Amino acid sequence: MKNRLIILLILFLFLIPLVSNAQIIPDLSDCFVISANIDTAVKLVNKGISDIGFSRNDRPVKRRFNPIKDFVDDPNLWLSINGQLVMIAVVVILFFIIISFVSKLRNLSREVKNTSEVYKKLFTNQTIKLRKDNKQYREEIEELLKLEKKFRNLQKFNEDLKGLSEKQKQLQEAVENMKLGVTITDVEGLIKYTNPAFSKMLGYKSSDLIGKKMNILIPEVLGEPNTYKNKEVWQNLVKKNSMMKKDGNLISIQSLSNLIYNDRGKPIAIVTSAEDITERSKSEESLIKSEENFRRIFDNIQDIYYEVDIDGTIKEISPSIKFITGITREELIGNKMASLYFDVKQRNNFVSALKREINVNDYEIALKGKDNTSVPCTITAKLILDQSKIPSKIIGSVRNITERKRAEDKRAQSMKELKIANKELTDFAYITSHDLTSPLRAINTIATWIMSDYGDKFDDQGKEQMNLLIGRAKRMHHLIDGIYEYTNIINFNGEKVSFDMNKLVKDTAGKMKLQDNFFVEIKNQLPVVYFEKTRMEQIFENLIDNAVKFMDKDKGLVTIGCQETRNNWEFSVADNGPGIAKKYQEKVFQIFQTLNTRDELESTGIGLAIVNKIITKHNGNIWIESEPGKGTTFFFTLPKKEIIKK
Amino acid sequence: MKSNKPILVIDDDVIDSMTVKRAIKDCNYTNRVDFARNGEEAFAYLNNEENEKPCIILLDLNMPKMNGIEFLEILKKNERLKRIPVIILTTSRSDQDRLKAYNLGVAGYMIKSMDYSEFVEVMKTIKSYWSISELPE
Repeated sequence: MKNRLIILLILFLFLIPLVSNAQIIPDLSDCFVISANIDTAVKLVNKGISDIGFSRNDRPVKRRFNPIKDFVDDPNLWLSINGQLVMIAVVVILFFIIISFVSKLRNLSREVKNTSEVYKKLFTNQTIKLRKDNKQYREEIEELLKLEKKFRNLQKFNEDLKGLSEKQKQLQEAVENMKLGVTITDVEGLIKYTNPAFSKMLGYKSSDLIGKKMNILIPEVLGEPNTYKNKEVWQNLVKKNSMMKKDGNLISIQSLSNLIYNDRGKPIAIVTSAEDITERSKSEESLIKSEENFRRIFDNIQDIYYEVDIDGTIKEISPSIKFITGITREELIGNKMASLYFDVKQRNNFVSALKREINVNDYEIALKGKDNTSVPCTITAKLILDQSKIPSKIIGSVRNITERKRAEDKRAQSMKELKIANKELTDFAYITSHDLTSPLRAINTIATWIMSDYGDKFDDQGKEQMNLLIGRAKRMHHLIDGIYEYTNIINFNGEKVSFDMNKLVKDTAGKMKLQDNFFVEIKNQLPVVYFEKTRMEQIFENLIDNAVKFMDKDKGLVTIGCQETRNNWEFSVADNGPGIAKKYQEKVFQIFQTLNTRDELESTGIGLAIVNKIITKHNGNIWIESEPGKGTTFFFTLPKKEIIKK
Repeated sequence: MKSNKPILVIDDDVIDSMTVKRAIKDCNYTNRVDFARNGEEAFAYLNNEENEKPCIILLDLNMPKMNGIEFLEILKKNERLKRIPVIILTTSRSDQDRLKAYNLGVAGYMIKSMDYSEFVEVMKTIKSYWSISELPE
């Protein structure tokens, strides 16, 4: 405050001369000076006042000067202020005000400055402190992190350790329970451990084996002390050998051994896993045997087994193919099946048939033989479809049918020859019947003429001989007729027609001009049949004729009946004649067989042979039931399919 | 059957021919009987303008050179001769022969009987039938 007063005083002193001599500063244009007295009447104004719109001269106003109010509200007042002092006072006041303001500002600034200094100091200290703290914290955190990491590792390690022991436990359990036998021996072969499977496999308890030498279990190395000398052989050693069970039986073992080393790389133990393969060996053996068997069959079959791709490439073919084509199996595999055919078209046809029918049996083809000859064969094959039903391959067998063909040809030839022979026989019978008949008739005719022309010239013996001659000629004629008829049945088939057998029997009997004391009766209704009518007539004509010829009763009776069975019609023709002894019953159906001499009873012995022939030709049967004195019944059957119209 | 016209017998067997000749005589035929021993001879006879056309032909089937069926086949194609009645006289009882013969328009088919008297009866029947039956000129 003291300072302020001093400055103010100085300013005041300085200003007095200045203000008292207003003229000195009249031309200060950039400021105006008002000189006023104490009552603030304006005494002097310099030029500068004009710049604010006043004239120095025209405002010589003596008035009181309210510096603020007047300046602001009424500039005119300024001019009324009298006296310089007033003015100076105002200036001084203003000055003081300014000074005090400035001082205040300075103080304020100082204060601010001081405060800021304090804060700055404080802040700086604080920052330093913070920096320090930060570093410390970082170090601490790093430390902590390190620790945490260590901790984590430790934890993991711990867990691993726990896991490991768990694993070991599991492994041990697995080894204990596995089916595979496991044993651990030391490098000298002393058993240190066996799992139950191993000891069980050999019929021991694990405790029986521990401490024993492994050698005692293996007969082939029993008593060889140096087995374990060369330890390296145990590395990944796979063996198949026999082991002896406790009961002395041998089993087949397949084993895998490995060496275990310690930290320093020194082998300390041998771990062996072993499996009883006795059963497997047996089945393998039998499999091999059966495979061998099949291979032997495959190698030796006469037929040719083959497999081809769908494009016709041979995948497998049995070696027997060589016998036909002269080409070996090995040469053929991979080649086209078509190359084996005599005519490739045949294979195309065969494959189309196979694709159509999947299975084809006994399909006739011809393969190309050794000298380009055609070898007749049959194929039986099957088209193999894959899962999506698309043909994938053909498997089949080929059979050489050369021999069969030869036999067939031979048979066909024989058949042909037989037919020719048969034809010749028929022709012979026909020619015989004609050509023998003519001279026979001539003999007969001329003998008749001699008898009629010269009969009176013969004595009784001559007449008898002539009659015998004519009789024998007639008999011969009948025999020839019989042969002709008989051969006719074999060789000619007549036309089949439908007819009522009741009527046929009546008509046949009617035609035979039977004696008045001979009767033919129908016991029950006969069927309507579809058959060769003349042959049926022949059957009844001959059977009735047979009854007539041998009839020994006054009243002859033939009874005709029938019976329907499942497949046949059975007919019976019974007479009341003398009957036929058992021993002759077979003979009656033989051609030219008669039971009486022909002189006693004129008979050709052909009638029943003809009946037999007709019936057997139509797949029927004929037989006799007869006893001497009780008549004879002829039975015959004809299959329905032969005598019923379809 | 005109009693003045000849009967032609075609048969290779002399005794059969004799039999026919004797039977005709026994039946009191007045007709002349001419013989040929096979088809060829028969045509030689028939084609000879000097010979009168026969009123009936008795034909055997089994003959050398030209058999009965062959003879018939030619005869029936001959406009001049085809209307002559032909009766088969044969030992053949073959259905085939019978069928062929009738297909070629024969007037009858007789089996030569073993018994001469039966044969005479056959001849008599033929005579009586053809005496009644009118023939075209």
